[in-house]
Amino acid sequence: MKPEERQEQMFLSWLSGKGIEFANPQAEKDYKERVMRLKEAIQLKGPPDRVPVCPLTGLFPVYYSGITVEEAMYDYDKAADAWKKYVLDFKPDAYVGTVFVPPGRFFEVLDYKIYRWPGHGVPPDISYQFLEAEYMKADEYDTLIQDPSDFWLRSYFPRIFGVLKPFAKLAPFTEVLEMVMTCGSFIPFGLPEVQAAFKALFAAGEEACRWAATGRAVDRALQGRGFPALVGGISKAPFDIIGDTLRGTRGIITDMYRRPEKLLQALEAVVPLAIRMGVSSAGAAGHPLVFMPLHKGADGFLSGKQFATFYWPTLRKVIIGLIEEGMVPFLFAEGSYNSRLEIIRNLPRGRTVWLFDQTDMAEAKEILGDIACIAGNVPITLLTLGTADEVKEYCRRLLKTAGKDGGFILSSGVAIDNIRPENMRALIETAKESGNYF
Amino acid sequence: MGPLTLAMAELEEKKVLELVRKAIGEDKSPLEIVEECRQGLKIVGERYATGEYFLSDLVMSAEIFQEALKVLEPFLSVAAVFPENPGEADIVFGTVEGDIHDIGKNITISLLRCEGFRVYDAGVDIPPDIFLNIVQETGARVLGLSALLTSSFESMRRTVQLIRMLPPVHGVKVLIGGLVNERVCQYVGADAWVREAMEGVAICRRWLGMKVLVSKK
Repeated sequence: MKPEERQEQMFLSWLSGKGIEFANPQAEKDYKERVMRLKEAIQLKGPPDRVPVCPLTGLFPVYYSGITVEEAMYDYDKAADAWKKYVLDFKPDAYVGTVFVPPGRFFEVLDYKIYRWPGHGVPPDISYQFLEAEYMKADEYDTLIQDPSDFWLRSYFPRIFGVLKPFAKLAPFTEVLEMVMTCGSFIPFGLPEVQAAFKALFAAGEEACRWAATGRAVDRALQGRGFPALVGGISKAPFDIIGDTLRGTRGIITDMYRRPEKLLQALEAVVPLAIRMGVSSAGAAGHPLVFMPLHKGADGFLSGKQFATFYWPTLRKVIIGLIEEGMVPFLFAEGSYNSRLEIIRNLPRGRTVWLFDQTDMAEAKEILGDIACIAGNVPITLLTLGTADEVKEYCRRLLKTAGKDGGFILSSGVAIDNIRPENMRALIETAKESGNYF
Repeated sequence: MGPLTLAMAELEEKKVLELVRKAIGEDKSPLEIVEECRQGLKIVGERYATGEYFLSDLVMSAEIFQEALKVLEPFLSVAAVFPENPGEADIVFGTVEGDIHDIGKNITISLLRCEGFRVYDAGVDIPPDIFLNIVQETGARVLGLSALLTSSFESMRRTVQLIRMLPPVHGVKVLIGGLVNERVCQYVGADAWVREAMEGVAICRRWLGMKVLVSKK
């Protein structure tokens, strides 16, 4: 099957709503209209009936429903109610699921060290936050490149999960060969501390199952009422996998100067892993959109040459790899991407979505408009501190420039947490009032 | 421009360190060597301002400078940059309460220190009263507040309000950075806002009107 046929098949799977128990015929009609609106905006085969509006909500449903972030992270039912309330009250064309509210108890069970969250370093009503550090040392590139999964299991896990520290004692799984003495590789599993780590892993798994079950119930309820989920899967750019996850900002920046060859090899090594991650997560959801938050490639961070050398080639490989499997990479370009617009044009038409944060949207439309669906970019500062009229005014301008002739999804520039409900309403209503194409 | 200044400006780490070692071997004054490196940093800053260099280059220049200082340290009778958290400081810098983002803060602090400013790194998630205490204890004239969450606008506002209660003699100016713009600046009542580390350095230079080269150890 050709990539475009695969993509069509993925879209049809999403559109069919197979497995969804619709509350009534109207809900089914609404669901299909909303998915079709997104499909048409993305594929660039002519404008949909109107501009789809899909705010990138982070913790907005939590604040809107009056519970704390801490409650949402520990009481999954409360989070579920919050999500349903947000979607049913505001009626966006697609919603971002409860994945943005991770399970607090899971973090606790594993002694997750790379986050601060309510009750563990931040107040109850404030978002969880990531602690960037060098979770991989500069001299560990070869270990990573030779066997990424082994590096993750025996080096990364012990550093980020306090209770999985004993995993450093495990033997590499590839030492299990056909020879009789191979049972030596299993000795670490007999150590009490390793066994304790596995017990914690079981507990974490059970918690993850409970959390996921609630998330699925929310999806069933909302899709049954006619609202599709915005994304199906997730992946990342190889440069951000190395930079955010493993080496940190300072680490990866210095690596570009001190060990460029090793960095390039490592970036290549994680390409197939990033493709696999996107394909398997979106495939399981039967939903083509793969959310990819982009961080360190923004304007100003890297020079044009560095972007073209270190960031873009492997990101493009991941994008193409996903497209070949019928997926639609949904690239969330945080910061601004003005200087990257020309280079990212080098993609097949109608196969990606680019959600921009601070990028000039008129220019993005001009340069990328015939290649990709663009989305965004109502500023989070405006949504937080502005009035509803100002938000509407901004959205109307955006519809005129970025929304011209289709290929546009109205959204916020970044994830929305605590904003006044009237500003959320202004964002969503403007698309419905002023975003019609026909 | 000497070869050391040039190597620094071109971000050639190996060459910088080689030239530093060579200069030490030739009995050149360590402080003169530091100054040549700083001249290179100045060029890096200029190239950044014109758009020739990027954040990655700034971070690398500070790294190379630190490496050069490590080589020079045994030969210096005075510290070329100030200790981590000096008793007296020109600038207090930290991330506001409820926010633990520190990448931008750390990059800016390292650049300010390369410039020769005495910077007190207050850390992250700092409540307003702690900021006030540190500003009073260190006598700093600039308070840098960093934040990357919308929920931090309130923390910044509370911090600025508290700082404004100091007698005017302190003359503390507040600079905010991170997820900020003119609107946020007005809302929190700060004196200036920046989105980039180098702009922050330029504002501190303007406000403090000086460049400190060396301090007594």
